[in-house]
Amino acid sequence: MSNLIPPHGGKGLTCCLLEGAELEAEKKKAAGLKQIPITPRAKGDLIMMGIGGFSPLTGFMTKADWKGVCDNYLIADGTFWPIPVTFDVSRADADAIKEGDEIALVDPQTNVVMATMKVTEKYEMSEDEKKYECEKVFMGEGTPSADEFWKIAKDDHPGVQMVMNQKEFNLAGPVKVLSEAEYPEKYKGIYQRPEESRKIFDDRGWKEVAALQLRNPMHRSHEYLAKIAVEVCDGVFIHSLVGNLKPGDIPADVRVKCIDVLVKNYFVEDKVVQGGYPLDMRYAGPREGLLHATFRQNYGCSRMIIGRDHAGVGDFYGMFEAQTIFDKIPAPEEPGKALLCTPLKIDWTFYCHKCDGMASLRTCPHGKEDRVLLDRKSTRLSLRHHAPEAPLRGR
Amino acid sequence: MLRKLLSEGGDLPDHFGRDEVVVVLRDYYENLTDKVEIKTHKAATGS
Repeated sequence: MSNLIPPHGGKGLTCCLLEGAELEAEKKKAAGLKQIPITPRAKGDLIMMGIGGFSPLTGFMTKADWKGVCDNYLIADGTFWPIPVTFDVSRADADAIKEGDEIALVDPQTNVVMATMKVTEKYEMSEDEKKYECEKVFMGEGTPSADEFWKIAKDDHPGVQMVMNQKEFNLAGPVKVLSEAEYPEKYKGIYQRPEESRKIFDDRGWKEVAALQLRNPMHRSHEYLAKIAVEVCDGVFIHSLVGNLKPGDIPADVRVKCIDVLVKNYFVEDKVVQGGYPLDMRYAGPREGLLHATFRQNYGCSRMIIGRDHAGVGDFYGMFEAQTIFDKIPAPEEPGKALLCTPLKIDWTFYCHKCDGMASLRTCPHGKEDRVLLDRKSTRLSLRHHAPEAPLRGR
Repeated sequence: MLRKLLSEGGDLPDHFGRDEVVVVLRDYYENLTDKVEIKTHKAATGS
């Protein structure tokens, strides 16, 4: 009997990945279906639906789901979900598909059929509806107006650009996932299914597990956040994004090596588990923090570490908006439908020369001249403006 | 920012990372054959 938090949605892990004879039969069938190319984002979404990372989702969202998520963080059956998970196709493809059809979803990079899908709904997404989604999902609470948001978001917000570049129609319906792509082989030992991370936690006798989200090399602030989590939970799950990378990104294997040396030298090893997940960033700021908590619940984590500017995008969000959003989301009463993974909120952290160690605004009484802020945004600002609160020192 | 600094062989802020981590990152950048120019963008992208 597991002591871990149950998966989100109240239905256990809902895994759409086929195996064995069922998989072989579906692959044969897929060869005769209409082939639709997918984006890297859809590929990650499909794998997450395949392995139960997106439980209870078992397919792409209907228009009612989309609207409910945008407006109230709820899919149509009343289950909490923070970000639309939709599948877009061109008008030409939509014209060739009717509701009830089955289609094959193909990764154009490898020509591998990632999934089949039974189309239960086809709906147009107008430019106004895409803009509506952007304003609901990506607009920070401090933005004075939608007009102000659009003045900068159109050119500077990658999540907005992603949504506005989506094609004219969405297809909804359940999927059968046929592949986990390159992840099990390429990231052997790091890429895990939720059932695997849960087994590791169970084997260690853990109940309360905190997740640390990473997509950059682990620095001292990340180390500090993880150690705070170890103090108040049974263990910490350092969970790195290993999804699609942009040119210039540090590859996952290098980031994993950084975590390895850090854990080996500075952590009690049996208090830490390292893992990877196959998603792309959605650049949704606070809502992305909620998504991080939602799928970490499926991986067996009861706490999600949310520090300053978690999943931040430029200056679009308040420094602690990804923390306060957890206090504002609906909590459906029906069992399983509310988000159970709670935020482990941690204040602004930094190295303090007078404290002679890592500290936060809650623990350090010293002045800003003594503090070194280690995150990317502050370092960037310090270079740009030579800000005294973030002195750069040559090694 | 970290990527830009390292790819250009620049100095990291003191206490940015543990020495062991910095060694791994420097090793990666020194052995990189296809250099990509890192542009700092207004959009920071996650933790």
